[in-house]
Amino acid sequence: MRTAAALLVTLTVLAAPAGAANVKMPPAPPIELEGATPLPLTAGLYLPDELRSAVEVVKTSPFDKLKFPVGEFTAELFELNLPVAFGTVVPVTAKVPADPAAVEVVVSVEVVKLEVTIPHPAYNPYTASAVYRLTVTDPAGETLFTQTASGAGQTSKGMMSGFKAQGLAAEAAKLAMVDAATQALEGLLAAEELCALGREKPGTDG
Amino acid sequence: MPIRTRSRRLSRTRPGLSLAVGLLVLASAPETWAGSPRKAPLTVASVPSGALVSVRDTADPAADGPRVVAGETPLTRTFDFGKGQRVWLELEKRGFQPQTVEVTPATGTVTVTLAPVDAGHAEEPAALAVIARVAVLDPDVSVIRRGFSAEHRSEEESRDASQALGGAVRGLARDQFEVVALDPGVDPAVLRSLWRDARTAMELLDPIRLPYLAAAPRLETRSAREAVKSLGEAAGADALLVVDGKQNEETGGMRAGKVGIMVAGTAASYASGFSRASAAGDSFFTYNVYLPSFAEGIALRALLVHCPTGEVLWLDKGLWKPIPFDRPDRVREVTADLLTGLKRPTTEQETTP
Repeated sequence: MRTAAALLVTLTVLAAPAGAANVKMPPAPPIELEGATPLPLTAGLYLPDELRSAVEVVKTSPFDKLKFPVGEFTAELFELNLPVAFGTVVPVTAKVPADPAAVEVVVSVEVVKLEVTIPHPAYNPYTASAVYRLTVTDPAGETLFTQTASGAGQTSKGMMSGFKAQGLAAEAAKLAMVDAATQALEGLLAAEELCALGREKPGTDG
Repeated sequence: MPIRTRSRRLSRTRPGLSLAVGLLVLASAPETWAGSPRKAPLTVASVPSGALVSVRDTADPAADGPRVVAGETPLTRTFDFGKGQRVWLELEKRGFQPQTVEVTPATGTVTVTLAPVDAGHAEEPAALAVIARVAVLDPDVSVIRRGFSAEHRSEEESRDASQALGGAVRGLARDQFEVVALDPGVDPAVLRSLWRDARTAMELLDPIRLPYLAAAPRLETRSAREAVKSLGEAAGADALLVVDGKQNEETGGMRAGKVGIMVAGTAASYASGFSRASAAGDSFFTYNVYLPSFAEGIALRALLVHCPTGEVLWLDKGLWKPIPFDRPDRVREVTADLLTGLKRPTTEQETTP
């Protein structure tokens, strides 16, 4: 009986540290697009609460999982970098803003997918893939343009990886999301629909 | 003395063993006690036939989650209905709206009538053209050199890999199509638009489901569609073949490090087992042999796009062992595997998968 109790205590102690660990993502980096000129438009950036609170959970063992704050990182990434694509960026709280005159377009961001692979054994590569969908609407909510963009990330410290596994997983996720965001921003700049809108704006050339 | 010790240890662990066995029995009990079997035969038919059947554990077709392809209708299979005693079947066929039906072990036979997609969303005639002339975009392959404590993309090896793969793809495509050359001075912005949407299509589309999707997917943005259209017009090509990939290779240092650590681990295990056995006077002992694993290989994806419309005609992707790019026979072998199934997509093949 004492052994059974000891076994139960052992199982409980083993199970106690199991659960979800929150991954600390590195700060969102600035994205530079060589030779890019922002579109002469005022864009509202709409990041709904569901997006900001989105978390990707990756199961690393029967007892452990990692939680990636994908929404928080995405919000930070686009707040920092959407000015690469638009001359002026202001935050908006709805897809159809209360004051339609305040913006010319509204950009909504959606995380379509984030997949992070935690390798076993730990010295194998940490990989991630991310897909963002950006929807650009006019102030009335009509869709003008959508761009779905994918990105990939891989990192490793070789045989040293096991000592910083969580950090490497976060780095792989960051690389994938930054790659996808870079593609998406390039897509906005290449969008004829948005370029035309910029040209039609009073006071702009063309 | 050792015998006594062993005997005592066994008697002490018996309650623990009993508890563990009990837990295992409890864990498997719901299945045993449920009474009804989880698996049962099921016949699935559709009107019209030839629909792809996927098994899902949710009724929401947009939900993420596992999807197991069961085959094409009509089919009869033994399905695993899981602990919930029910699964959902999603039926897909080109030109028809997808439908999801719930089935249980008691269903036996299910027939689904598929409704055609609206005329406004029906396949456009341009997508049904027979592909005769194909242009091959230079593949984009990254070779990652994985060292003992860091990894990096090898620019030189990546360039060589892209060239070798491009040659193999063009050679094999000639077996099916007339391969035409692309203008080497293409505007990089045009190529970036094309790659952006092509990569997303490669990432999100499922090669198995592609021929069964209600409508043929296209490159998403106008800039990408215009890019593929202008490239096609300039080269006189009906379709463009796009290939990308990534190869992971381990350096000698990484391999030596792995082997060294495994040898050291095995030696430590041997020494520890030997020492314990010597101290206890045992005549045998056990130890672990650690074997290194090597994380090498290549992931390749290929996409065929209809130039006038930007429609995705064909897609394949997969993983292979690393390719020695200086060996044309190995490059061709893997490329042939990647391009298996790339046939002239005709009207008949597109609409009747």
